Amino acid sequence: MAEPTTPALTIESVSRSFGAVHAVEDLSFSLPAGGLTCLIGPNGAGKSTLVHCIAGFLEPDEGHIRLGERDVTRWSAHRRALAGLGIVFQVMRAPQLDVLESTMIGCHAWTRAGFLEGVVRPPWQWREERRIREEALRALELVGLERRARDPADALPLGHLRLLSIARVLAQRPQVLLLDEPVAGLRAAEKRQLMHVFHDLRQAGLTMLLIEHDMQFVGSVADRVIVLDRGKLIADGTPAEVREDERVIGAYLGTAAAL
Amino acid sequence: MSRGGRLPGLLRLAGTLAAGAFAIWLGYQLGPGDRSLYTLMGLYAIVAIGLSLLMGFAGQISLGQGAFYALGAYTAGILTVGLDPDDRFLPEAGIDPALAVVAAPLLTGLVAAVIGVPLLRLRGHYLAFATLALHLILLAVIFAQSRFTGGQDPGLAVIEPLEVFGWQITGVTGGTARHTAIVWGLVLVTLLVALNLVGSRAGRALQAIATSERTAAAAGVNVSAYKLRLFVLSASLAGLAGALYAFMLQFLSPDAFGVFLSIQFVVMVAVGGLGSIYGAVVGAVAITWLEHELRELGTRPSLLGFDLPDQAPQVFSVGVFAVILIVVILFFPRGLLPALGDGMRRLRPARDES
Repeated sequence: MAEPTTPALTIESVSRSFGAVHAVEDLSFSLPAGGLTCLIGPNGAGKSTLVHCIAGFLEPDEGHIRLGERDVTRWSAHRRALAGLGIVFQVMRAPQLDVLESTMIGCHAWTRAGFLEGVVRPPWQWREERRIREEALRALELVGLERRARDPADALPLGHLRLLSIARVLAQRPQVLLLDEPVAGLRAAEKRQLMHVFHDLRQAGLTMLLIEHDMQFVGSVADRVIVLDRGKLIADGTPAEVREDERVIGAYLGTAAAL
Repeated sequence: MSRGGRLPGLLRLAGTLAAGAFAIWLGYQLGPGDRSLYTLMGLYAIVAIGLSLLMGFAGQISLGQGAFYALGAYTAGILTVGLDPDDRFLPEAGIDPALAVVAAPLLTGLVAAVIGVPLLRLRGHYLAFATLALHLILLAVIFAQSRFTGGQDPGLAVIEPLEVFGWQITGVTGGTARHTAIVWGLVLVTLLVALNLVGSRAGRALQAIATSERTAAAAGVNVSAYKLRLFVLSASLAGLAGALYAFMLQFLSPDAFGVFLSIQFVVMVAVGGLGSIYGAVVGAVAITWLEHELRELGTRPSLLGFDLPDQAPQVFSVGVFAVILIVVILFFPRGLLPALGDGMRRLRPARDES
């Protein structure tokens, strides 16, 4: 458990513009360790820009991003992953592997066998491989996909593919989990299943930041909701508080009837 | 077993070893004429396995494998005959040929590591052009430094026979049966190395890169480092094959390393399937054989009543390979062999999917 005083993720006056468009403007918030926070906002609010900045695919013009105590603003994406950041992308292309092997990719962050060990296969490589397999199976069980472990990943339907990408990220053993619209395009039963998965992960003490459109889903899983509009933070509170907020209603007026 | 057509690991390993043993045995059975073609197939298979990994997993098309092959050949050749052109008539001028064969892939890999850093920043067509340029530059150097490399005329004669612990491997021009057997033994080793790599943690990381570089990076894979390592590995394999080639003919000339060779390697991989390791071997054998047949056809004085010009062999090869490449890219982007495999699978009765 991290110190209660050190947030798991800190966004510190981050700005990023594209030409004259300020996609994210002087944005600050922090996530204390544990808990599920939802980030919502109408289209063009700067959600994707922020996700890319946190992931390490986009460098902010100004400001800092911290993972725990480490300033990762200038770090490459893979280094952030090694430091405990996990990302579930909205779109996942399945590799030409089976479901278990695809999940095993997630274990890359905390294992070390390289090219040479892969070719020569010393005994410790076998032991590591066994640990990877066990961890991947555990992650698949967590999302309820263990029965499809030996199916080719590219034959999975969308809902299962989303579960697979969550399983892979869990195999990564992240401290902070960033999820980009994880329930978009899923059926009600699949959403319910994900809700349970997120609930379990929160119980396990994982810090989660979820980018989401589906307000009903947000209301049922989130501890806290952060609302962005035109690159700025306009509301931050419990789902109930945010739903009553005048500025949020104004920002969403005419765009999403779900509120 | 829910994944169709997938053999259990041990059975596949046994099959590979048996096929490898047969390939080595065949080296002793063939006559001198067929044997040199068969040796060439093995050498090209080693190059193709490396290129297939690079193209299939790093998504990089390299038109420079011929350059690494040539670099390996000249490294082994020059080290064997001696670095200083004036000393080459002395018997002790060069190093042990066996050592030269070991040094060639190391040096080739080193060169790839150095040029790979800027080259791999390029993507798609740009990398293809850059590696092609590399090949042209190397050829220009071989021509220009003829005092050192022998150039086109008189070429570089590597007469010193390849010997390992007093066991003579080459000597007779065209390659002895032992040389052929060793080449195919190395094909088997390369195959096993590649299969082991693909099935390991590093292989899964490469598979992730092949699917999406962004997702791979998000999972903690150092994408550029992995690509570079793969580039170095594929270059070293080409260098090793080139070094063995130097002792096959015992004569090196830039004519044997034209730009067309690099294109031929890409065609082998395209036919065999990107990232498919067995496919690379089959592609190399098929294309080398086809090239040989086309040259036979082209060197005939006349065909169907028409007189054939001197350029006929090259024209035939370029034409046929261009058609193969276009057909594969348009209709079988995953390669001819994987497409055949898929077709076979579809013919089988449908299995229960759940």
